[in-house]
Amino acid sequence: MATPPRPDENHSPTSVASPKDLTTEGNGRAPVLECTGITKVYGSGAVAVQALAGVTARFLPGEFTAVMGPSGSGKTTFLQVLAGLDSPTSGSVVIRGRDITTMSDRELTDLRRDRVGFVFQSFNLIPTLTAEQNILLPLRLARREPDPGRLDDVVRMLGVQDRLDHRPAQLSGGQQQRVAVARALLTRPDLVFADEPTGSLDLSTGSALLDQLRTACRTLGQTIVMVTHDPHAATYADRVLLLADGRIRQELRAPDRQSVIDAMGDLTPEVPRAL
Amino acid sequence: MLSDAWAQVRSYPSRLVAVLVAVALGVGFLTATSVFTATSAEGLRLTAAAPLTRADIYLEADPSVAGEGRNTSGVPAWLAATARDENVASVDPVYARTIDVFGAAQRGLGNVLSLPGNPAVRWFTLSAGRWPAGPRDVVTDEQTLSALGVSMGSRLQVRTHREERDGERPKDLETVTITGVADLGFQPLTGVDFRFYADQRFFGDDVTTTALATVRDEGRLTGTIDRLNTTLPDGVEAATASSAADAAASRFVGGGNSLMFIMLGFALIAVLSAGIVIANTFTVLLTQRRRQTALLRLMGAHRSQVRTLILLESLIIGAMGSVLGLALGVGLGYLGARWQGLDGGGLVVNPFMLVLCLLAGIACTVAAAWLPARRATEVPPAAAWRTAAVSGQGAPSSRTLPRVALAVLVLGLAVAGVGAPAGNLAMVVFGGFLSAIGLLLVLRRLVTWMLPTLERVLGRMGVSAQVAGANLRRHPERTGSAAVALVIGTSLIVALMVGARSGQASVDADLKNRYPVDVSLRTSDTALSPGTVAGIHGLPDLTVAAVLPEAPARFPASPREWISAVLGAPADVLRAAGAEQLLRPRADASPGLLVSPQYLAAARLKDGSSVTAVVAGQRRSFTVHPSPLPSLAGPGLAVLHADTLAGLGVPTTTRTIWAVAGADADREAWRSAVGRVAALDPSITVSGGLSERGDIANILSILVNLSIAMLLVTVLIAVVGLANILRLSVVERTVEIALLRALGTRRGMIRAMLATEALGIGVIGALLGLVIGIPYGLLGVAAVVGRQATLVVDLPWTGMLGGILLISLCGVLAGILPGWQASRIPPAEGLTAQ
Ligand SMILES: Nc1ncnc2c1ncn2[C@@H]1O[C@H](COP(=O)(O)OP(=O)(O)OP(=O)(O)O)[C@@H](O)[C@H]1O
Ligand SMILES: [Mg+2]
Repeated sequence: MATPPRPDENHSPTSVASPKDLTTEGNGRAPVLECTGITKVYGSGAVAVQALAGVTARFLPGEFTAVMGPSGSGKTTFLQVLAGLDSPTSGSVVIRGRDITTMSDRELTDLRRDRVGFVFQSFNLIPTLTAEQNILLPLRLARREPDPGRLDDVVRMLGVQDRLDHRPAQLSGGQQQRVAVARALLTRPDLVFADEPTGSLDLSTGSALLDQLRTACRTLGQTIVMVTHDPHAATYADRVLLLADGRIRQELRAPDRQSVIDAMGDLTPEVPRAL
Repeated sequence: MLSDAWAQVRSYPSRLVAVLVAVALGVGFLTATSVFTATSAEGLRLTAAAPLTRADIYLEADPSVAGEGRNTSGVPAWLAATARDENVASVDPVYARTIDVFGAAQRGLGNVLSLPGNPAVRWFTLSAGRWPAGPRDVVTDEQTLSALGVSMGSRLQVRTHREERDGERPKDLETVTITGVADLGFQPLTGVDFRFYADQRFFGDDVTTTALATVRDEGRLTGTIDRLNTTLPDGVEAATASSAADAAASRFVGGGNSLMFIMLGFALIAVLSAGIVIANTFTVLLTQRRRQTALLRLMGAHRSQVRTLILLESLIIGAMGSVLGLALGVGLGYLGARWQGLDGGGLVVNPFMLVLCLLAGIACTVAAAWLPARRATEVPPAAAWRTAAVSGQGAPSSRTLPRVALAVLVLGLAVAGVGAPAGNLAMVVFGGFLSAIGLLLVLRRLVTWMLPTLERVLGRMGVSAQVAGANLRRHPERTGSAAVALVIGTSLIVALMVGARSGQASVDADLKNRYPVDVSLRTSDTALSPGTVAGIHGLPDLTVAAVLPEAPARFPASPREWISAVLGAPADVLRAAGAEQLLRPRADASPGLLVSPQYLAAARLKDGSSVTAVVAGQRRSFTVHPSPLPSLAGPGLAVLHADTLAGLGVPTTTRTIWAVAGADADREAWRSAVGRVAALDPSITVSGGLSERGDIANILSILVNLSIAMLLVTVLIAVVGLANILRLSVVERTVEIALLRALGTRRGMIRAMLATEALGIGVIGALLGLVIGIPYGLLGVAAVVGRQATLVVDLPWTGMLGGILLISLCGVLAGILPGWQASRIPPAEGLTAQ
């Protein structure tokens, strides 16, 4: 466990292309985000945990990717490393042609503010600010004036226009989630990272939210990376990356419910071995 | 940004109440000091300048010319010349005399000031009675009347004061009549107990050096003064009365500075402990808001933006608290001046100082929030992501700081330790200050270090105490800071109490050495009245009192010193006064005689020499010993054993009575009792250790009490901080407490748990305060007493014990509100929360 495997070891089981085809795949468009051979080891010595064991992946503009895998397989770690919130033990992460693993805290902060949006399972909002203030927060941090038409569009699309003056505590879980999505979309970020955004929502609320995410993807060209445990949620994505033991085991394109469940089933036997 | 900070403040106002209160108290104290100083300075100004307010010209003559050229009616030339000026309407010489006053209840020192003959120039009115009409009429103020126990129309015996022991014959007693009561409207600063105002004729042919004049035409005042300065004899100066008033006022105002510095010192200490409370509150608040801070960072807030947000928040609350404190301070400062009777000039506020106080409050709050804010900026943005609670505090506390602090502490103590025995006040102050800083820096560690012991002790006291102990240990740095704020106030109070008590004891011991007899009354008549003797025998806690027989004596003359009478002291008085030489006479030697060291030196004698004297006509030889006893009763006396005097068989008189107080006697009670006895008989002169103890003890105890009252503000701030920390911890532990309740813990137990936590911190604070305060108090006294006297360690155990109990009780009080809140958390909260 303690020794990180060499990056090329895990290329074979996935359908991710080797570096030389990168430019051709995705209809010739350059990826917004790509990572190469990232590993992540938490702790050291006897308590060292290898959360990522060499992951290489590319994310194209307007692509909606779901990341699935058993609990503890490294999904959250993967997203955090991609977003520059955690530095990989080895490997590189490139956003729009710039390696973020060498960026300063200041540059990373600006990157997050201007190019990245986040949605989590819970605790997305600052409790002391109203819904509108929360949505506008990244813009205000950048000292930019919100485009009123854009704000209107986003809140209308997510159906929270009547709740703008409410504080998070006065909103339902689904409303809070939609406010968080509105915030993540308002600045037209290139990338949106979502970690189990529907995890605490009922089926129909969750579906509506996913619909809205996909619409954003299609119409605004945003790249979305979403961690989910829900096969149904995964079907909204363009592709599914299946993670186990910190490695990408499989990539599903245009997933449907059954293929996702099957692919997950294939992974499961590996979990006991990993533990 | 400002609106976000305001949103924070507005969302949880109650969590910031402690900050608000702490700032308000600190700033209030600072402001009160400033307002009190300014208001009382103006009051003093008016008081000092009062006699000059109604005149136009102030004249001052050099003593060498003041009495020159008196005309037939006794008016000196310079006054007559002034009166002759065409624009001068009136000239009034100003006389003053110091007198001994014998009232019904007290005797004491007073002064008499002359009233201008021109009623328009008098600077006060009468509230009752009439102005003095004859040379023996006086008016006085209400306070003097009540202190002397007399009323309007009473007759008083007065005597022009002379310095004691100068060998001059006492002046004759005079009787004056109180004809009116002055309506002064302020308390004059005269340095004497009693004040009188009399007609110029009261002063007989005293020479005056000052005078007040009025003019007919004020428009020509400067011209008149110029003319006077050229025509008047050399050595006489004329000036406008208003400039003289300013000069008089500024001389007085300078005297009020020391009180201001003391108050300022305590105010700054209050601000310091407010800073500790604020820093602690922000640390806890920001720990609770850790996830929120991480979310801000995740959304793209720079570290500097996070810091700005927090500092803005502290700025808002600091400004609010400071404004509150300003209002509080202005009110209190004015009331303080009023209470002291120094508000004659009305409320005086220095706007510059107010702005300074306001800024100090805001700066203190922002500075206190600085470190917690910096720590908050180190929260990683990823902390917003993980749902799991992020583990405790970030970086482990550094090891260098306590080492440096310890070094500073040891260095400071060493400097002070070297300075104290040498009586070097500067070294002790510097060393004490240095070590206090070091101590302040390691104090939190010290508290943290005591927590396991506390937990063990509490663990044996039942379940709720056990949980409380564990809770105190859970956040040792919080517990530490809360206790530190308390320790500052407590240790200073203890140090002051110890210092005052030991200082007084040292001074008393020193006085006892130099003045072995506490009270000596000596009459200039032939014998003491029975009333006086009975009065002295009736003093409380009396070790011994005795009337001393006396016989006239002739001793070999020496240049300046002489002995004209011998006193016979009984054995018990000699024993109580420590005069061992007369108690163990050697069989082969002549009887012992105590003389003053001055006489011994002047007569070229040595301890144990033999001297021959004529006592009531009988020639005798004595063995002389130097002693402070003889000069106690008056000049020209020697002391022998009463049996020796009786053995001579000569006629004696009884003019002197001595009394020695018991070790525990209340010296203040003695002073007033002796004053009452002596008031009955103007022929008596009072001397002895008690009168030497003087007003210093009185002023010292007032100052110490005032200081302790001021330090209580610091303790109050600490208690508010403690209550708030507990309140915040209840918010944090909601789920846990709900779980305890769900598992069947009763409300009372929850309340007891919080009370125990508060009590734990209170006890730690009080104990550390005691342990730290005692040595500092003693160090302070050692520095002041220095080499002039030996340090007597006298610890005010009852006072300290009371203080410790009080502060522990304050701790429990601080736990009441949080306890009540905790006990109201519904058990279901533990099951529904995420
Ligand atoms: N800060 C950390 N320190 C040590 N180990 C960590 C840390 N964060 C994650 N891990 C470990 O890394 C591995 C991957 O964790 P990660 O949170 O990425 O899993 P996940 O796929 O998101 O799981 P889940 O579906 O339960 O959210 C796990 O074994 C976890 O215990
Ligand atoms: Mg996860």
